[in-house]
Amino acid sequence: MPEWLKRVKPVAPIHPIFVHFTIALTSFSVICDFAGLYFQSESLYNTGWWALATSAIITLFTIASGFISRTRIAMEEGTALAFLRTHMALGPIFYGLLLIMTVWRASFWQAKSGLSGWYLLFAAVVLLVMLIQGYLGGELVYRFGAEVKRIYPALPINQDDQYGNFP
Amino acid sequence: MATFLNLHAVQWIAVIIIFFMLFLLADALAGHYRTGFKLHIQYMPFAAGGVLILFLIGSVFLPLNKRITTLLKFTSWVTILAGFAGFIFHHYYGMIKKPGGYSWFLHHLMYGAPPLAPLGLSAAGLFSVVTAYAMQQETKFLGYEFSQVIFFLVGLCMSGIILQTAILHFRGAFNNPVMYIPFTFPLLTAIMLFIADFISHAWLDMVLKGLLWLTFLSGFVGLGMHLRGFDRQRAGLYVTLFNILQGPPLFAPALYSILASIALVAIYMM
Repeated sequence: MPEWLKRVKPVAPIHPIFVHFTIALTSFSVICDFAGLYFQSESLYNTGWWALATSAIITLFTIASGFISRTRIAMEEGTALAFLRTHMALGPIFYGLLLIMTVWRASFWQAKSGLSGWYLLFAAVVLLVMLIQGYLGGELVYRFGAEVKRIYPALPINQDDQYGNFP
Repeated sequence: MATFLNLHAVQWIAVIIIFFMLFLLADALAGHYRTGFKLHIQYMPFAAGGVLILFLIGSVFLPLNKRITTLLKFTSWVTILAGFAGFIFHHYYGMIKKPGGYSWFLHHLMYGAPPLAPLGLSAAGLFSVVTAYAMQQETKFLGYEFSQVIFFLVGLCMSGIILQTAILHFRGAFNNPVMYIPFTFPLLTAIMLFIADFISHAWLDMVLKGLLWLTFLSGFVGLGMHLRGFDRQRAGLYVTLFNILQGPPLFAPALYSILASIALVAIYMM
């Protein structure tokens, strides 16, 4: 490996990047569905489906990058770790709900039929779970400084930590 | 058979079995790596499962190609046999050869090689065989409708997974109430699937669909809780490899979702 490449350390966490795709696409899909219903617009209706389908795919990367982020934080026991554990447990649950929502939405799209009230209610529940998950993630970064450089320095057991900031 | 997003039911089942195999092999890798791959036979699931995945991918893209489906059938039978061989090996090395043998039955059952895990390989093989027959335009399998066969197999496999979960969650002392979830919806689903093989009613279909979706979701609850389980050990996932090897099997709960989705494909599309 060339020397210049060794110096490049991919330290920037990518989880926050993917997270915003998941949040934006999922909520945009529901907004489009409601707007499509109100304005009776087929174009908004199709946008709702494609936004959700993209979210279902990209959220896989959100979960994977979240897992990677967790492996980089030497967080001690306490409130922050309790938040982190809840965030970790809720992530796959949200994804399960998102997959169910996507399959349900796909069935409407394929049948070219209107959305049911039950679907919109379910979508609202999924958005609520996403809101809670986003809140937990936000607290982890902005209150507890998770993955903020130099907040949680590497421990002796993992000196080749990607931050490379072990004292 | 109906299509969903341009794929037929059998293609969807093949796609789901690919994920089934990948999750199974990931957990097998963790378990076998933990023991240091002391025996060459420990590579068997990866060889059999790997080849099966290749033919499953081929059959998704070319479901009407007779050569691929015939090879898929053959590989599936090999995988079924590999699973049974693994079952015997797990029993022999995880129970009989262990100090104390059968007199330490419960201990070895919980701390030895997971006794029923290799049968997951056989399960994937069985689903693949059925899929291969359906791809060859057969209308029935051993005289039964394909949906009936799928219901029976999913019910059978789910019962096995619930049994293995019971052993491991008992070892974990059911330290969290969520650990009882596999004995709620999935157990009811398994029973209902057996019933649905003999009785067909609109209300039964509705209840079964509801239970299957709940079982599908319960797999994701399990994934989340297993992740949390790794993190409850010392240093959590910061000491990634050690805690993944010592913690609960990462992808095992996903098998509930996988099995539920196979049955859902059968109920909606076959």
